[in-house]
Amino acid sequence: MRLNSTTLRNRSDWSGAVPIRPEYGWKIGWNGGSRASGIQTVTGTRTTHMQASDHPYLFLAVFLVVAVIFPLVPLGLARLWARTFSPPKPGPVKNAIYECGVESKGDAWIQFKSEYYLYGIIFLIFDVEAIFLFPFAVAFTNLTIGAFLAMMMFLLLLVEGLVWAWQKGVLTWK
Amino acid sequence: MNLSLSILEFAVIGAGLAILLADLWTPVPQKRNLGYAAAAAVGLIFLASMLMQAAAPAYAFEKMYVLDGLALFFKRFFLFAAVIVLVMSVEFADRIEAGIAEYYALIMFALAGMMFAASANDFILVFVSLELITVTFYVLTSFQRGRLHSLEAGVKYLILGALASAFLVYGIALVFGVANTTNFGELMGSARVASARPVFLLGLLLVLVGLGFKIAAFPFQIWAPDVYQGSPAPTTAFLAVGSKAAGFILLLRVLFSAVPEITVNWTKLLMVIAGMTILYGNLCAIPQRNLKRLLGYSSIAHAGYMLLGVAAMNSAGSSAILYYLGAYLFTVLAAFTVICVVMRGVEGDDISAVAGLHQRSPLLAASLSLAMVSLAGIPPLAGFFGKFLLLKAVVEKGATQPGCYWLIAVAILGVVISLYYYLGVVRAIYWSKGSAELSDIKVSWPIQVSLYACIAAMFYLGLFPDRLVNIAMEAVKALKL
Amino acid sequence: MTLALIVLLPFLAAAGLAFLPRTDDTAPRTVAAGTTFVVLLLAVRMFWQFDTGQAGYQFVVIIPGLGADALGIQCRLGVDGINAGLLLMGAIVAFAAVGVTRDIVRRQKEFFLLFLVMTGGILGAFASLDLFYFYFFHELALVPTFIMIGVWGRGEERNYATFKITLYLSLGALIALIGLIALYLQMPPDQRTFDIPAMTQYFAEHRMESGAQQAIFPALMFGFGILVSLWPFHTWAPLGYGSAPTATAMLHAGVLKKFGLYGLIRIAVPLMPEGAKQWLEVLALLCLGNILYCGLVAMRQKDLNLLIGNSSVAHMGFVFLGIASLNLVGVTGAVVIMIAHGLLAALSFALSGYLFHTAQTLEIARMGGFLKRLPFIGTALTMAMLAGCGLPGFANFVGEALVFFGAWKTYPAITGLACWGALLIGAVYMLRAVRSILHGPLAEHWNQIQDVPHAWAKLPFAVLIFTLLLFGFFPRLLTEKIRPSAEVVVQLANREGDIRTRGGQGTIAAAAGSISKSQNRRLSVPPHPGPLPGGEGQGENSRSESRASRPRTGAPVSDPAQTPVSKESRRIGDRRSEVHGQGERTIQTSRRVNTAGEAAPRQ
Repeated sequence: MRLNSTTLRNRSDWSGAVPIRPEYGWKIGWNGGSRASGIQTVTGTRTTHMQASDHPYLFLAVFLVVAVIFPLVPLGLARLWARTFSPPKPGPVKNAIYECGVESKGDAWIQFKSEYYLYGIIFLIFDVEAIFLFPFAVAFTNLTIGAFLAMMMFLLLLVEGLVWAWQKGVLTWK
Repeated sequence: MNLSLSILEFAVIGAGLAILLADLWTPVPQKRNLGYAAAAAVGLIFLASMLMQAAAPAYAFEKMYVLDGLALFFKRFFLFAAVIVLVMSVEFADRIEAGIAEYYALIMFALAGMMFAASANDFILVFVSLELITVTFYVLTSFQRGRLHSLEAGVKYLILGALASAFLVYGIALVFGVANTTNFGELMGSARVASARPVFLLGLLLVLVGLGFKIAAFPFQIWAPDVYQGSPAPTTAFLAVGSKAAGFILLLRVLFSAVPEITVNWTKLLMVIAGMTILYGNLCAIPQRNLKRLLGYSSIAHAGYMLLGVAAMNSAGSSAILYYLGAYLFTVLAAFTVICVVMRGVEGDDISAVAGLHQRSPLLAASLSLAMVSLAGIPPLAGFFGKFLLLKAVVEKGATQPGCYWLIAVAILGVVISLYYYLGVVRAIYWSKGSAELSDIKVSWPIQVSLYACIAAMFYLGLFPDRLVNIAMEAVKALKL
Repeated sequence: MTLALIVLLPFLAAAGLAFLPRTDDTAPRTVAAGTTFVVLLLAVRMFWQFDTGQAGYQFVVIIPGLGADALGIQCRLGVDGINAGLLLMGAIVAFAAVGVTRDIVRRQKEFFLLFLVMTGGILGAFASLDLFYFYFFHELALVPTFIMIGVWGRGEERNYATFKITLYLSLGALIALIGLIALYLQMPPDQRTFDIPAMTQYFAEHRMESGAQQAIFPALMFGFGILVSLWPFHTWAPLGYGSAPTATAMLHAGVLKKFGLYGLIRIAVPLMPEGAKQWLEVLALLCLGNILYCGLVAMRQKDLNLLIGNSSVAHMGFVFLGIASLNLVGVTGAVVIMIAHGLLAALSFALSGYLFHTAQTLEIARMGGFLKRLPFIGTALTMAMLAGCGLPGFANFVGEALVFFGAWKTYPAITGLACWGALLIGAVYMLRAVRSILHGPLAEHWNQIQDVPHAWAKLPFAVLIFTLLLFGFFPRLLTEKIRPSAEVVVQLANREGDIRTRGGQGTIAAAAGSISKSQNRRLSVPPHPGPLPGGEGQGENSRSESRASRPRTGAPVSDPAQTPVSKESRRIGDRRSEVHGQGERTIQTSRRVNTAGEAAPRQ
């Protein structure tokens, strides 16, 4: 299979509206023909000694067949192997949920304090703020007054959120 | 970068943040009144928006943001809606256990999202503004934490909303993958080339799915009744008016400003969606006893009517949508304001709760009846003229697209069906038996003012439609129709 | 100004009522009575001052502010011969209806508020010269009807009845609306207007596509037909009227129902002659359903209200027949019946309402011998029933006779059947009702029933009967006003060949454009009587006759002086110049109409 740069460019045209172009199949050279035929298609002359096999979608069908066979063969082999060499012997330890760690007890649906969320959200906001603050700090000397004001506005908004949360008592653990 | 264009949005966000901060130092009994401050602030911004002009489209944020007549129209729309919704939330405050100030602030943040949506000229801004709206609404819908219905509404809205957002963002990604841009202006240039690619069309279709969820169009309407029913009344009102209108402005922009060449091929699709939405909403509304749920289904039907204007694919249709939304705004707000007052302490929001309302409070009874009549589309109220314009647009389209006549037949059928359940509410108000409660209802003056404003606007738009029609026709010039 | 007051006064009064305290029991009735009385006076004045013999619109007034200029919608009111009588009839019925609201004892403020809105809507629909407002005013009455039947109606079935009537009517109205919008869209975008005269003129000059006519006409015909209880869409009517409070039934059956007929005459027929040709035959057949089927149904009714309701549906058949005949006599007759039946239906429902009020039942079999206790009501009922049979002396006779004369030429078989239905079936159920209610022995338990107590309470009945007799004995009061306008309608409806010849085009356009002329006259010069349109006998402008009279008036057509007419009228075709333009030529409208019709080459 020879994928040259032309085919790659064709391939990148993925939108689906474009049917796979006829020369595509030829370039792959899956037609079972001689190497010479591939060379001939690259030069752009169609020769007569590619016949039924030059259908452009043929290689898809072949791919499909191979794709089915390819995994089935090792699976079948493994099955045969297991039947012969490792017959099933279930036991309580083998059937346990985890291979390691502590086994869980009780229901997984439990209530926990919603303050976790508030903490989490406020942490996240100020964490993300830092992402904006770093480039701001780095480029600080070259910034216009407008950019500076915009950043201050951004900070003020966050500060207002902090003040509000603080005053509402969100930051006090109860 | 022309930041001054989005001054209104910044003002709204600033006011929202101020409310949040003010909450921290306001004594508990006074917190409720922060809503009036918020309403006043938004009202001031609304008045300020009246001073703004948008003769020629102006762009900001690398052309992501556009300020044109259409955007300004919708910004004013959202601002007005928010004022009434905030007044309504003050009335509703005693039914919210804690965090009423945050409720006000969230409404204002959602408002900011809607206003950004009105100006979206780029898929990225579409997504960001929609998420700002949707995420705030996740909280707003489930704000009555003690009520199971409210939580249910919140969870449903969260799951389905997240799904819709996923569709939307996936669609945007596909569009970007093919067209290499997310900007509407650039997309229009490359759409003709890109439209040959199914992936591009698939992407747009997924975007439509996301927006269809917002406006509750068939077949993405499943969430609407449950969420409308469960949410607190002011949230429902804002959802019905603001969120839906935001969906429509985005739909209009995407269809007629980003990819107009592709949209014309979708006439039939849009027609089918419109017809199904009308039928679904109206038919399902018939057996409803829960007033909010009924309005939920009716809001689906109204989305269908407005989709008529989209399917008409002409400027008459789009301006009709704008007009219809204007009419719908006042009507729905009046209805929900009444619901908010009347349903205090009523479990299940059953229609029977409005029985005898004409004795308990003539103002509330008249407001709700007028709202229902306007929704049904009967003169002299605003809803009639809106429906008239929409039908006119579709009939106009019928000259080139004979299928439109079927659509008209469906629309007429829908209107007649809707009369049945809307008038059922009127009937409950004026002559149904069996209301135990007959005490007078005290209506606070801000609620009175907003009800009178809504009624006056309904009559004004129905009797003197000229002004809004002209504004709407002027506004849709921003679209490529 | 008169017209504006007639239409707006009820609305203003209703708005005023809204701010009265709920507890006040007398004020609402007084306000309603006063308002309708003033409206009645204005309507009588309008009818009196109406310039008889003119085809154009008079008293044209534009209510400023209302409407949307961008779409060519303007609230323009005006009357010609066709709706002048209808407006007068509406005002009379409204005034009479307030007089019989004895059965309204609770929630009076709400009732009279809705009543006034309904009255204003009805009068507005008939006075409107704008297609949009024509529809708009009619729909205004929908919700008041719904609430009035629901709250103050009677009978177990009133819930069902009120929903049925509302849904049926709105369905009909919406179908008609689609037709009206489609009609509007038939004009080129820069000339689109909802102005009825301008539209009439435009379509007189420009032939509408046949396909469009064939499609739009049935929409209007069935849409309006549902509103007029055209068979088989009539089932809402008897039921609804049976359940409605008296005043509502009077207004609805008497006046509002005529809206659809008026729409057919004013819009559907003259604007779409080809569609009319095709579909009016269907209408003629369906009207037999009204006359015969509903007449037979009426015969079997046990309830007086249902009997009157069904008979009122049956009477609509005559109007349909008159319209379907498409000649001057038939259409004039149709308009006369509309007016006469309006008064009659109002009278009948007022009487049945009174009977129900005093006897608490309307079952015909349980009543009997009432004439002894109720001399006034009994006499009035007898007169109403006789008028319903078409007894000479009442206005109904005039209308029915005209319709039969007119329709005979076009649909002899149908006319024969309709005559039979009118004379025999009508007489049977009407007279049987009179016999079993008024005559015979008076049962013991009816001794406490009371006749109308005093002269004031008699007034509403007296007014209605007086008008019926007045128009019955002096039908020219109506027909002379109607004829010129009906002539225009008939000419326009029969014009199919005219369009192609230049002369015909000009003159037809002139006929349709007569509006602007008469409007200018209204603004500046005091009205002068135009020449009478032809002699008495030439009124029947049916097809054969017009062919015969062609040579007499054939000359003006070939007259080169006609050429500017068509140019002029095309200029008038521009809506704005037509509305506001001053100093257009003054032409003798009716003369032109004649030339237009008679000069036309017939097939």
